[in-house]
Amino acid sequence: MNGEKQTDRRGFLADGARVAGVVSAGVLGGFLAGRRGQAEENRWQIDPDKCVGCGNCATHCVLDESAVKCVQCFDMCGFCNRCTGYYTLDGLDSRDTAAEDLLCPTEAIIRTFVEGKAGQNFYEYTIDTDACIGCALCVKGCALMNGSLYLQVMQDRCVNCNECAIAVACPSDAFVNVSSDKPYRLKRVALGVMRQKAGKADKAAQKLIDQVQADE
Amino acid sequence: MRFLNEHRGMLVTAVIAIAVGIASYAVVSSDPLAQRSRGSFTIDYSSVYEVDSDLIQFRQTEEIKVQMDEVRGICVGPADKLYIAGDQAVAVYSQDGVELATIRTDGEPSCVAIGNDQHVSPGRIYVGAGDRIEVFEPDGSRVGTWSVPDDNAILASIAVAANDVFVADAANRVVLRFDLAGKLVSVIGKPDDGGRTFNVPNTYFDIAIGSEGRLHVANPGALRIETYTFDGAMEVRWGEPGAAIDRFFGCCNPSYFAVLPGGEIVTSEKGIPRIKVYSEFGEFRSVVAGPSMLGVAQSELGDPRAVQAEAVFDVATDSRGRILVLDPRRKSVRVFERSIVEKSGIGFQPVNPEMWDRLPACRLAHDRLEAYPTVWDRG
Repeated sequence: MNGEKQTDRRGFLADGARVAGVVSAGVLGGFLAGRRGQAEENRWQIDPDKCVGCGNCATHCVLDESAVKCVQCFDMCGFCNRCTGYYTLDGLDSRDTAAEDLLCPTEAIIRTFVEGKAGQNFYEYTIDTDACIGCALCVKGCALMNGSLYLQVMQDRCVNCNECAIAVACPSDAFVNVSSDKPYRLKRVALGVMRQKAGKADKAAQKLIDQVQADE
Repeated sequence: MRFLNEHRGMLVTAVIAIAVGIASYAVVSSDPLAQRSRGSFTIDYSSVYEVDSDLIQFRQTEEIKVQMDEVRGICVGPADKLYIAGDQAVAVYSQDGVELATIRTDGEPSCVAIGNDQHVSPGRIYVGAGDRIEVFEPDGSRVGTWSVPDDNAILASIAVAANDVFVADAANRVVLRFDLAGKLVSVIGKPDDGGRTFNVPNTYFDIAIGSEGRLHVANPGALRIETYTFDGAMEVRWGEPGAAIDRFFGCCNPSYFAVLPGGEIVTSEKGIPRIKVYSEFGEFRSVVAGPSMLGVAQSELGDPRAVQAEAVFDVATDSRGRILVLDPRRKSVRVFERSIVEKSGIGFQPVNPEMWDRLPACRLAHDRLEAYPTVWDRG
């Protein structure tokens, strides 16, 4: 008993104050770090130049309806009559719009007549985001020609899991972390086109570049 | 027995652990979700990937490696020299693949053409780079630089006749005709002339000089080849859209083409890469190479990544009737020659002598081909 160090009330309070101080500093630090992390939160996104269109985006998302959707880069689209992203191989020949002749399993691609010139018809292809399931069939079909269709994680739907289930299943490591203030990506080719346009004072192109992750 | 009794608990635990391990392995390795996704969202390209071997009348006889990081265009000049546009230069090779010279250009060349023996300066080199045409003498000395009327131009192809130079501008969907001094003479496909003539959905828009003073133009969005007089009057157009081998695939093909010495046309398609031969009037003749011969795997078809998109093969021909295929992925020129092994089931048409009188171009073909032992001679 004699060897034991006695702690008086003053010492006990001083030790307690030190411990409380350290804990408070830790809590404050954690709070600030947390806020900082929230301000610069990263989001999951698909690098369209790495995507192989495997179809996993449609089946591996934790949501019932995948957060991945197809998007259209109109500056790369040829507005073609015979769109390989719209028709199946048989449909290309027949150009029948029966469901079996269309690539999209949910008819999420909307084909709209634009104009007819020199005996040729031009069509615009837009995506019905609510119907799109992110299966990438159209992406693969379009890749045969212009490659203007590609997949992106829609940030208004994505719940931003710590470990994205699709990223784990992605066979080509196409899922990347991007800053939440620029959570979308353009294909590299499209970025080149946009930069060229922006260089010629195209404000819409510049606005788009400002909104997307533009690192090479 | 005593051992079993003593260690029964441990053994049961071990057996259960092994069973659980095997079951886990079986579940994980079968990957039922992945199998479902692979089965659900695939496109079967086998019907367009496989080419009937009886239709293939060419074989690769040589491959010439090109010392460039990026190759973009090929043409053949006098003495069958090869000119390859790429990087920021035009590389010149002998017909046997010996590198002869490298001509540096100001811009990054997208296309190249050479004046032939009828040209006022045989061997003169015309290079499309950016929105300008750089002109060089055969020794590489610079003659001058021509401008095109629209600075948004994408120069996709050049064709050189005796006294004219034609330039295809994919951005504005027109063919520009220049005289030999670089003065713009006329434009084919102007929108002012009753609407657009050419439908060019991307940057592929090829042209070539045909026989008898005619200009062939690929109208890719219309999936056909058209023949014009130098003054811009259309004379012939042919080509059917479709996936079948005798048609042009997808939204926009052919991407490239070249004219054989006799007037036959060699076409190169993208998407489903295939190189074929047609008569000057669009009759399907044969296949030079299908996707597999061009080194494109079936699994690569429709792969959205850029390296697969690069599988578009420019073509050129030489005076011997060889077909020179520029492979941008292997950075090489692959030389194809007619296989003289007789094929069955192709149905070569006997040549009707009266045909040559009606079609001067075909007469030229027959005369020239007599010099070479091809399957034509057995007609």
